[in-house]
Amino acid sequence: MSSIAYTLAQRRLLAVEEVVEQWQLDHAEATLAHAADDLVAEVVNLADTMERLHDRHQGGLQPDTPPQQVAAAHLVVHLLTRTLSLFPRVRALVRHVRGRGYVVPGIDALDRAEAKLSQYGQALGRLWMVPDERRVQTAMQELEQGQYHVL
Amino acid sequence: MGDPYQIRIPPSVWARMSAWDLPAEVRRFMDGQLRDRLAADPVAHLVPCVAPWGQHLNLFSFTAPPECDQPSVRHMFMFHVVYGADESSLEIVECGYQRKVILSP
Repeated sequence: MSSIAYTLAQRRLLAVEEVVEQWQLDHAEATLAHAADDLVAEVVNLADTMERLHDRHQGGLQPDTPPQQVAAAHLVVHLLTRTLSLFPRVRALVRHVRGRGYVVPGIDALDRAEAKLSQYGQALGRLWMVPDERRVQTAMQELEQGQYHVL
Repeated sequence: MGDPYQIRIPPSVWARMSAWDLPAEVRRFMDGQLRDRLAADPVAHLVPCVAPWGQHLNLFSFTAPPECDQPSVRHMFMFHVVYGADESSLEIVECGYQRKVILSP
């Protein structure tokens, strides 16, 4: 997969993150139901982009996998994690809009996309031995306290 | 190239590595990769990567050659590393191991 695919995925994610951030700050905008509809559709579209990245790495680590490809798989898991963090924020905005009596369709698609990405993130994390945050934090605390073996 | 870096492994990581139950030859190979290759020239062997939560780490991955164990078994290793604040050590903050059986065609 070309590096362009990863770059485009990152830029799309950044664009959606910025819009969600702006919405959370600007409540006047959030009263427009069609805007909420667009945002839900964009996040579902973004999930499709992340799914394509996932598909390229679903075979997992092989004995002859070059390290650069391993790093790329790490990037995909990072992008999946960031995309997943958008879902609760978008739902909160949709609740806000619905509270004003508007109907926002597409929530089922949002739920399905979130479930799929969550599954992908966990699977890729295992297949590519991606680091675990709590374990890394524990290791770094131990090192800060001077606790380590020297190989 | 200067003096080799010191490889530091915190207890939690050390415990996980010990639990892998590696054949002796594979263990020797793994230690050699860390002590002789990585410690000697980390710049040449570490690849920058990003953790799921966004922290920047470096990864060192390799596979033990077939002669270390049965020809059909591959031992794959992954280490996530940060440079020590003293600029003369490498700290392993996460480790991973997979054993794969290669089926003959």
